[in-house]
Amino acid sequence: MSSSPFERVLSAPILGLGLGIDIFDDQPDFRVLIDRHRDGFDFLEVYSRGDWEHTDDPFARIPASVPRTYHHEGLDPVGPRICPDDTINGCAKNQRLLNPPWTVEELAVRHIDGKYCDFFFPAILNEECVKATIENLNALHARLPGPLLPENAPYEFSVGDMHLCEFLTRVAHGADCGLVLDLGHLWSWQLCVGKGDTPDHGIDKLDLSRVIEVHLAGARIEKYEGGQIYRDLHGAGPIPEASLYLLRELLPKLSNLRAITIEVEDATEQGAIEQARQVREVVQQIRPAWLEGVHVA
Amino acid sequence: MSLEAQYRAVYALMYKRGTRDAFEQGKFDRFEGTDDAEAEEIKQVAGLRQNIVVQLHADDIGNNWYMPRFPATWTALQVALGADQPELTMRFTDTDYFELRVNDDSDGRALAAFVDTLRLPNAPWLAELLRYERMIAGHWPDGQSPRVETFEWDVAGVYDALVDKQLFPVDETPVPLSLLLHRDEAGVTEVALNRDQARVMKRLIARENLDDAEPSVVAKCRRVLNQLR
Repeated sequence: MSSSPFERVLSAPILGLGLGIDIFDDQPDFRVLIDRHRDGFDFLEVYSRGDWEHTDDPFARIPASVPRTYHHEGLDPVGPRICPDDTINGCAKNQRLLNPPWTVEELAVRHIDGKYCDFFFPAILNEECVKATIENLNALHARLPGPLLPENAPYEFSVGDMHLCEFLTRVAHGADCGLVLDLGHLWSWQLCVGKGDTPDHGIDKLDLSRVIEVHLAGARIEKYEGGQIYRDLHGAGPIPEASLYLLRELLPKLSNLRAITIEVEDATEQGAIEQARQVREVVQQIRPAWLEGVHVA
Repeated sequence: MSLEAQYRAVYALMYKRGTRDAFEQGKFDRFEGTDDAEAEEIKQVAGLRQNIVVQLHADDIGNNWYMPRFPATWTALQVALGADQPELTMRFTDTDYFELRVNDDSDGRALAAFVDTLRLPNAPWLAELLRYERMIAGHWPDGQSPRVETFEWDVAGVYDALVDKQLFPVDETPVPLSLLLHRDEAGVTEVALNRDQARVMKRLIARENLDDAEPSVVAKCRRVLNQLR
């Protein structure tokens, strides 16, 4: 019997601290990062915007010596039904080209009734969505060569009365897979439900052993009368203190952590490396042994 | 229970202002296909926070989808309608034309359908301006290149006024503009033609006999075409 998606990601080595880059971006240019700043990161998380028709050439420019994970989009795993065949086949193609230990996919839908949306509509947090998500992930795992790591998507408003951490645990157990815990996205949900002052509120509902990868990214906080809204900026903004707080709190508890990714799209190369340094300092302070043997510097 | 109905409801709350306003005003209790529990969950979403999120995303759609691709049309629309960017986006997304988009409407087909229906008296050149912007962006109705396109207005001048000089053209009169357009991997090249040149260039591209045409015009057209190729 073949191993489960969770067992497969557990067999991967610790990758360390990586940069999430978009292969179609001029800034930061991943080739410049590799050529001039290789000592500033341990691996790259490669984002293709869900494209598979124009990825051969840019993927081929990533040297085999650079460890990588892959970040897809468009599989829409929390939707009412599985996505179209060409999207699955496209993801499979990119997995074969990159050969990553896992593929990250947002727990969100980019299409509703086939219509592309301007942002990731995050999972509706209720029983029906848990069930659909597990079915979709199982169906996707049956067709993709590599395992998926579903990621909690950013929330600007939340639908459903289930705690996000319970949703993530139920999905991870149901589909027997690991998770990416995006710390900023977790806080974004807490802001939606009035728990922004306690970014780790209800964290006991999350099976932390399922967290294989952690994401951090820059953000902007929109304030309005009655609350705050988290706006995902990736490299175009500073990493919020709430995300760093969550990192400090959770880092010792993530027994199966394999990777920490700082998403730096739109940052300058220097800015990307600076954010990586900022996070590396936290890791070295809280859990130095985790980085031993993986830091390329 | 329908997850699909819930997503459709959230989609309507995000992009369909008329539906959102009617729902918030209590004109209807629940979105089609939702049961009691789901309807209650959707109700909890609607309100101040969601309205602010809608505004933020309306601004995002303008900044990320339309302003970079069709800057003259998008700017002109805001001036002609007296609407800022979020307001313009919300008016547009509320229409059925928005549903014509493919992905992020990178070819502008949904925007073109919206613009075609506006018939704004202070911007009678708007539809032609967008046709021009779509053409120079490479979104052509067919693959024929090179080609001669004639616009009813001097849309290149309108474009320059809006984008380069940041002026809204006032009291423009129709002045036809003919362009030779050529598309290759580097993008679209445009060459302005006068009326005689446009007539001859069309025939030249169609490989028609030009014995009856003015030789100097034919020579000029051949030279331009050869340079482009």
